[in-house]
Amino acid sequence: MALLSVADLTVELQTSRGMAPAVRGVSFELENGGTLGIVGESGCGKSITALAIMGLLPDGARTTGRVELDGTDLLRLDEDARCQIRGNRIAMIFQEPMTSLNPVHRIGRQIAEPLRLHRGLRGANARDEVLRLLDRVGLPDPARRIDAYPHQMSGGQRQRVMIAMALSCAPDILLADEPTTALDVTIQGQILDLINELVDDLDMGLILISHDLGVIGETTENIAVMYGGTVVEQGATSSLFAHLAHPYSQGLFAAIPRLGEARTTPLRTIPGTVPELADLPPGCAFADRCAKATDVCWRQAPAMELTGPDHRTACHHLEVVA
Amino acid sequence: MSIFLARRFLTFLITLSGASVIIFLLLEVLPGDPALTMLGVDAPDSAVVAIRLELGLDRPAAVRYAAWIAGLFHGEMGLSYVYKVPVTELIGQRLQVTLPLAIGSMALATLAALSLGIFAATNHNRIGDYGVMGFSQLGLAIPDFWFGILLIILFAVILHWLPSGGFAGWDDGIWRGARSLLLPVFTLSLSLTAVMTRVTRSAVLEVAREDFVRTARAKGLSRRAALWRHVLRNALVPVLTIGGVLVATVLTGTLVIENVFSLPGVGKLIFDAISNRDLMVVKNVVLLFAAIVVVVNFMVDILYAMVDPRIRIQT
Amino acid sequence: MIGLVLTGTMIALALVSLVWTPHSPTEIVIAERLKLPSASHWFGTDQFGRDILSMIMAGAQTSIVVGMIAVSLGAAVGISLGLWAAARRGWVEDMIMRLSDLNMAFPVILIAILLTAGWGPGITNAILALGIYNISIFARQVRGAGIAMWEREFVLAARAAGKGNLAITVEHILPNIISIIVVQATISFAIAILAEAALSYLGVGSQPPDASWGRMLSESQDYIFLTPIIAVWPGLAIVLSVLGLNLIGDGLRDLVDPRMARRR
Repeated sequence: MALLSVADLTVELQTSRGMAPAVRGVSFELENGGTLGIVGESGCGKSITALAIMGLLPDGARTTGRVELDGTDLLRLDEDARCQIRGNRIAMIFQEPMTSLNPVHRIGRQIAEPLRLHRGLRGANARDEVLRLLDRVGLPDPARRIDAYPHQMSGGQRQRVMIAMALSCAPDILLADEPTTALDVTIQGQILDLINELVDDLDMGLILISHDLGVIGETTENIAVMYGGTVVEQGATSSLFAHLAHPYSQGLFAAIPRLGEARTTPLRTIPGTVPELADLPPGCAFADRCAKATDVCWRQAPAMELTGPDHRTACHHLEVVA
Repeated sequence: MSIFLARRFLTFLITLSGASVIIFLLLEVLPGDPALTMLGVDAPDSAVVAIRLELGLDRPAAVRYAAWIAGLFHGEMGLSYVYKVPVTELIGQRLQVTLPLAIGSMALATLAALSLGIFAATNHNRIGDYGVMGFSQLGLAIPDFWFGILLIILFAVILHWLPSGGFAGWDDGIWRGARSLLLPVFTLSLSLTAVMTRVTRSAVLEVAREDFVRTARAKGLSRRAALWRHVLRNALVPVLTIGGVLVATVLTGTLVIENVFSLPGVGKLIFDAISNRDLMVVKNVVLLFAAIVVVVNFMVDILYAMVDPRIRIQT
Repeated sequence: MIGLVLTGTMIALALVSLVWTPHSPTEIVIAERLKLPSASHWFGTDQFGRDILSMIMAGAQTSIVVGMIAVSLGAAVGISLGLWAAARRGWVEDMIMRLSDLNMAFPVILIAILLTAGWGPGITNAILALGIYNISIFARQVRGAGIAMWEREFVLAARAAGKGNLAITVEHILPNIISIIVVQATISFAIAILAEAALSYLGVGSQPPDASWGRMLSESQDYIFLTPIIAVWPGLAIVLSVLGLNLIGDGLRDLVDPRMARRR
């Protein structure tokens, strides 16, 4: 049985124009120690999916479907039980290291918080463990840094602190929501390498969320491409990259700038913009930006079809593969 | 940190001396001859000459100002022209009423406002929130002296539970004195509570939306724990600010409320002094109040730096 | 909406009182003193037999006139200083901010006490005290908003076009912060009504025979054991006027700054 199994997850959010579906019927599985990348533009529902797994959706959100951890449906648990899992079995790091740490507390205290909460560590024990964690995430001079305030650190250092915090209780799953997007390019690689290395060493499951198909392709074994709140294509990374089937995935791939390309080559972009949640068409969400769209795309949402070994795609216009 | 403190302290000194100059100018220089201000324009010449001699009003203004300030450094405020006793003694006596009234109201208002504000924020857009906000709108609009009169009508005129005014003094036990301050404290805290409740509520709501609160929840902290450990301390900065501003409101509020409940406090002293044209009393009491306002704001600045480490490196 | 109705009523009362009141607000009829509300005196009469409704209508005039003059005075000086501080920064700003610190050390009542002790009681002192008090409030608001505006691109563009500080302030800064000023003026007006009532209650505001809600309350307090109801009407008038203005102020602020709307 899979460690985490998300089935038919649907999330509706409260907006000024009423309830709007942000995630529609998303399903995926994560094996013990497995890695999954969720990729898509901002507004495609990837962050909301992560927050739904954590149970940290904004007030007024409605969730249906199942999110099973070791066979227990998290959506049916009460708030106390979910607090037991958050930070303990599933930990999360966020996009904005600049604002994700509490400015008025020293970082040592902030990392020690989950230790106290889930592992009952206090005082010197907790401090020793925090020092070990800071060292583990490669923060230079942990003994001095432990008493620093967040504003005294750089973005990359703060993201390391966030990772130390997430690791503190040796979670089964690490959810990383755009962990490098807000960082300098040079730092991005370091942080990704760190996450990769920790996931390998600690045998954690990883769900990495990014808008960057390149980052995801290098990091995770499986990929789910999301658009308009649904998964449009998913499967093993190797299988997907061998043959990207969905027009949206192809567009994303083409949009990755490549080294060695002549500078004059224009950046390829996908025309149009992400649709407003509340105005999603009844058919395929990508229809109005898709070059292949026909009448059927507007009328009817496509179903997932097998498009390769361990590779499924939802599109009415799949090219037949041998 | 020390540069920050030094800068704030300098501002504090400048403001304080500026305040004393303004008071002196407004009372003793701009209106003309202080002897005439105190006695009235139609006073007989002999009386005017006498008071000039008695209070040294024949000296130039700058000398009189210097003498006043020098006296203050020795803890002397001069003699009240009407009561013929040291002004320090008068103020000291009256503060026994005014200080408990001010501190009691501030304490009650802070307690009430923090509870109401947090309650409203945690029940955002629900019936409890609307209730608290309605109450605070009303609290802002009700003049405190009228609220006092209404309380007197209810508790003294109709129910006969409490005295309509006056002060029993501290000599017959704390309870007797406190009892006569009960309604005044309650009266004065109404508008303070209203203002602080609004600020607390919006500060808590604002901070609760911050990313680091989501981080705290992601660690497994419950809503309540995240509120206490992560939201409140950050929400304290705006609450402190308004608390500092409100000290001025409390002080001048005591002046009004003492009048409503006929309490023998500093407020009564200063209004008697105005009718008696007792400039010595007016000038020192006003300076005292202005000084308290300035000192409190200075302390609030230091408190900021303690609450929020980021402020320490700024100026 | 409620705010508009309440404030509208208050202004209407004041306007009507200019030409007509049920009785003369100053006419003393000892035989009619301390009467409960009746058909001829809707709100009853006071200790001199004056009609309370008429006095309240006349009192609305006082409140509005005092509030208008005081807020205009404070706004005119405060806005100029605030704009100047935002435009010049440096020592000009420092000086204006220190002056404003000094101003903040003197709450309205203290200023009124100083003026009264020096020059004797009178409504002019109350207006002056309120005006002076409002200067630093407007100066601080305008400076803050003005500095934010100076950092915007369109100001940079105007500067690049060779416009001077004064021209930029008048053409770009002021029009963009006018909404903040209007909100502040509404709230200051409400505070002025409260403060005028308090000053008159203390005897350092408007003087007889002018009608004033604050003084009506202070006079009624001597008779609360006989006819408590006369202490209710002027207070209600104050509460409703201030409530109305505050609601308008909040409503305007939500219009101007949707971010604030979420917060309150």
